[in-house]
Amino acid sequence: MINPTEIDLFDLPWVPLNATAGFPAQPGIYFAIDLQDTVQYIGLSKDVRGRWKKHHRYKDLEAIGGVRIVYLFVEDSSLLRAIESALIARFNPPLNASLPDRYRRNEELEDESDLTGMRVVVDIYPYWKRDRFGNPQSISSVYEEIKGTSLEVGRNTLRLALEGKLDRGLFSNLVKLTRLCSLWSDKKLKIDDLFRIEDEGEE
Amino acid sequence: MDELMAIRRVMLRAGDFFDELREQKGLTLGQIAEELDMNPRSITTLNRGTEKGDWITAFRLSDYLSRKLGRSVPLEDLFSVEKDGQP
Repeated sequence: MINPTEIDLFDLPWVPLNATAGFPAQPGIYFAIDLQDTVQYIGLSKDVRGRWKKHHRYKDLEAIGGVRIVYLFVEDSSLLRAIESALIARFNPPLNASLPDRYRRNEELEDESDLTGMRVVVDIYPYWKRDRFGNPQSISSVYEEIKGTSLEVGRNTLRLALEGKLDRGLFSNLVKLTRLCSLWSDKKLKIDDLFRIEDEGEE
Repeated sequence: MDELMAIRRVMLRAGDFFDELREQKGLTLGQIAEELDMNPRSITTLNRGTEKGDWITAFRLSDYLSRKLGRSVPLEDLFSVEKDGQP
C-alpha cells in the first residue's frame, strides 16, 4: 500500500526530461523536479510512456532546464487519482496551479492561449470531509449531511467531483462545492483551488 | 451567516466585460467570438448570462479577458451569485 505522506522522492527511479521514451508503459505518477529539487509538476497516467510522447508541460519544463522526471508506478490504476491529489497537496507544485494564474505570473506566456485539447475538472479530494481519525467519509454520509441545507448538491455531483471527473454542470454547484470544501478544510478557498487542468486524453 | 445563505442561482456572465472591450478596443461580439474561436450564439449567451456549462469555457473567458483588458479577471468576477432574499 502506497502512503503518499511517506514517499521519498530520492528513493525513486528517474530519467532526464529528454529521455522519457524509456519509461515502461505502465500506470503511474510522475514528478518533474528541477535542479534545486523543487517539484515543479505532478501528473498521472495509465500509460506513463505514452503520456510523455506529447506532454502539455514539456516546453515549460524544458525552459526551466535540468529537469528530471521521477516516477512511481502504481499497480492499481484506480488509486492513481487519490495518490496524485494527496501528492499535489503535499508538494504544491507551481505548474499544477490553474492555467490563468500561470499566465498572469509568466509574462512570456501573455499572448499565448493554449487550452486546446485540454479539459478542466473539479477535484475536491484534497479537501474532502474526513472523520476524526483522518479517514475520508463516504459519499452517502456527506450527502446526508448536506441534504436540505443551503449547500446541497447532488450525490452524483459529489461523486464526480471527488473522483476528479466533474467537468461541467450548474455554476451554482461550483460555488457550493467551494464553500463546502472551505468548511471541511478550514481554509478560505477560491473556485480556482478546486480546478485541475489535464489533457483530454489523460488517464 | 452570509456564507450559508441559500444560493438561488449562479450565472456565468461576461456582459460588462464585453461592453468594456467594445468601448476600449472597439470589439463587437462577433469579433470576440472569432478571437475566442467560439460560436457567436455562445458568445451571445455568455453576454446575457448562463447558469450552466463546462468549466473550460469559464477558464477561456477569464484568460482571454485578462489578456485583452490588461488586468486580472479572476473566475469569481465572471460569476454573479444571486442569493435568497436578494432582489
